[in-house]
Amino acid sequence: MVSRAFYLWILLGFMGTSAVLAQPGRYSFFSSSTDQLDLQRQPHRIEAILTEFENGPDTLFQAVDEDLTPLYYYRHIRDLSCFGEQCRPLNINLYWSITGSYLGFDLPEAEYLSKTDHEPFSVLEYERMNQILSDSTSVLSDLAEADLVDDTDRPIPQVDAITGATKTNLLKQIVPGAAYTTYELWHIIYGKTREDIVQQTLQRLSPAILTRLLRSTETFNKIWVLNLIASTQECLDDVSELILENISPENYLLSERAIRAINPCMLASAEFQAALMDKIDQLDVVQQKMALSKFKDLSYLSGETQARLNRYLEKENPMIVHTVLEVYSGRDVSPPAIRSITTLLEESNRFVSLKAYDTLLSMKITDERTVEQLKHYQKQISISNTSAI
Amino acid sequence: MKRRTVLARLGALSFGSTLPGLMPKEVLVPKTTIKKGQIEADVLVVGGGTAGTIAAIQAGRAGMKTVLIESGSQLGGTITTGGVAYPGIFFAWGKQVIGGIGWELIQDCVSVNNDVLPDFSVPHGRQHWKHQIQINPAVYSLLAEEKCLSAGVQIRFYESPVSAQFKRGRWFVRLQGKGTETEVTCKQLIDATGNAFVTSLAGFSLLREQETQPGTLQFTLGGLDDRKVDRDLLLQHYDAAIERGELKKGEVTNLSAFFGNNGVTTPQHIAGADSSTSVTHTLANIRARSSALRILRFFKKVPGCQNVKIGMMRTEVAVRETYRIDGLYKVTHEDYVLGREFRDAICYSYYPIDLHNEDGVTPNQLTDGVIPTIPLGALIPTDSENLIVAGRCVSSDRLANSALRVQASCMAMGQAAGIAAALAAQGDCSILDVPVQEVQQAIRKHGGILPDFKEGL
Repeated sequence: MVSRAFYLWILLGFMGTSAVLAQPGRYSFFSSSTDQLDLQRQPHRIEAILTEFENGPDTLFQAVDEDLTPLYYYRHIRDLSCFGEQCRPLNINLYWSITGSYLGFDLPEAEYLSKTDHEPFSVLEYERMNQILSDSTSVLSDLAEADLVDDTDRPIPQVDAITGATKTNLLKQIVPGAAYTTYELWHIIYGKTREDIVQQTLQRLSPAILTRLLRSTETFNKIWVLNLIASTQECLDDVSELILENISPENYLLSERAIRAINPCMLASAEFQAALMDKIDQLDVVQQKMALSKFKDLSYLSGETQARLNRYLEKENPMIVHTVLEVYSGRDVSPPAIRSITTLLEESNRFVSLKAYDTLLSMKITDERTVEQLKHYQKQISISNTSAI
Repeated sequence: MKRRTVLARLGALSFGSTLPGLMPKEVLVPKTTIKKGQIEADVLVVGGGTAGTIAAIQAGRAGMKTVLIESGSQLGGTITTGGVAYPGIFFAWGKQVIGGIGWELIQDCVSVNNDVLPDFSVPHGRQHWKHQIQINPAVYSLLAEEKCLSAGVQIRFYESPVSAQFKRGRWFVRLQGKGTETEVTCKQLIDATGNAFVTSLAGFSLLREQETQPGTLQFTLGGLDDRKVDRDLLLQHYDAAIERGELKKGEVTNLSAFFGNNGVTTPQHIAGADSSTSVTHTLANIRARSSALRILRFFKKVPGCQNVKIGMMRTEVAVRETYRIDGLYKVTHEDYVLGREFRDAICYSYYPIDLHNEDGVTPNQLTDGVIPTIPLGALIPTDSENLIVAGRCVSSDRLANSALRVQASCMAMGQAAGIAAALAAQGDCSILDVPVQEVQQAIRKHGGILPDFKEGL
């Protein structure tokens, strides 16, 4: 279990570097993820969950607060590390956040990691191990155990065009002399344990957890919760503003996930529509298209939304104009919107004018002037099939 | 019934069937003749692969009457038919460098299929593939087609050009298809065949390496479990198979990569794979499929691998290199690795130098911060008029080509070619008569990404 001195070193770890616990004989290394701040909190309770892992049944420990909200998870890993016929126990605690991201490891008192011939790790090697274990995209994910064997006298080219894992490059992915330990720990961290943690967290999901994760400074957590929200059609008023905060040109993936998480229920309110339109102005054209398309399935477009959509009809990018026309297709819209669309009939670009024509037809316009303009357009251009597809 | 009545009734039945011997509702059709036709277009795009699809959509969205011909059955080229469905790279050093229509298509594939983009804010280091996007090739094919149709593009599958002549300011391109012969008259011609086929037909010189990069047939093997295989034994069997001629040296680039291979890539090389003609392409496909069968049979003989089976296999070998045009400018290796910013740049390109040969491939990453560009001159064959090329066959030396031939770059080139052709068609002039700033402005208008030229052109 963690101690007070341990918390001090967690703080040092948060300041950017992994740290060695001052307590003699006790090794502890944590990632620079801010999630490890949760490790500082005294849990109200530790739940022991018996789980079937890759190597058999074991216990997954879940630390929870007073509201039974998960804070973090950990496992005691007990294994044998063998070199030739000599074995010594591998005894290490691994920690994860509530979304399954790796937080760090520590060892029980007087325990240490060792390499070939049981030579103990140096501090640098512990740091190296922590660094490798923090990399969720390591090539270790694509390698089999057999690939760890140094087989340099074989004539078969070992270059893998996808992983790039030559025998030389592999040394950068492991702690030299502790290849199997590195491999085994990495696969425990990113294997079934992670899936089980996610399932456990989902069982205790609450608005508080959603809010906490959306406020996290860790991109992984935000993406995790945005993916979750995207799979639901609920309004989630508590977090809708936090979702909008992630829509920006700063991080493409986060912005894209946030846009995907928006559903028609959230967009039912005029205020949320206005807030989304504010965001759209800042985005690149592809994300603009994604966000504008969110308005297609809405039964209600506020007057302000329509006014702002009309401005997008003046954009130079024909794809954006097309997208807005698709939003308007089949709707009753305001007279200014109809005027904006009718203006597009005079566009020299047929891709735009034809779409405007199709959109007006879909609205069943009765205004005489507009009807005349449609007839005029129809005469001007040969239209055998008025739908774009 | 009297015999005469019977005969009379039989005769009446025959007459009612239009001709004697036909069943009811059968009609006899005239003998097949090749259906000849003529089409006029503003822009003709030959090749519906990675670059050509984007070029056609762009030309259509610019309001041009656009025809797109493709010799196969679907759009997408190496992405769909070839099955190399992890396009990249669109982001460099944390910011997006290739956008526009190609990126729009990729983003739509991801959204429609609930797939996931990588986190581009995390540097890929030496593992550039981490910033490539795995998409479903079938979804790409569907959306590409939808976007072409939405842009008003006339798509013609199963057709290939047999001649291309430039006369009186127009291209006259004869197409042969299934049961059809068509002459297309167009103002601008885009060669997106990947092999510079139309450029060559039109009489322009091409360049080719003495030894081209190998192709790969995308396929997977199921039923392989590396926990049941003795690695030393596997390698012994491999050595013996090479010696007996059951496997060809160099056709397998990494034996262990067949285990757990999800089809993103296949560790196979087919030397000299050439898709430029029906003869060479047939040969490449046969050799690739023979290779797949050899590999399957090899594994069957290895203890622990007897349950091996084919998982999936694409219909064609994916080709990396055939011909390149002799363009107004040839992008060199130095241009590329130093990130030279051309004044007539029409897109960025970002990928390591990635030359495949008989030893496999060892990507050579770009130096931190370097983002190469591709100039318009590399897309235009020397001495040509109203002709532009897009895709892997642009004018470049071999090493530069090994990087800029990848799919994201081809999409960007396709968009540039589409815009350049559209502007030239609008002005009824040569592409070179369109000020390059106008081309660049139009690329940006349609969402493409270009350097900020601080001094102006």
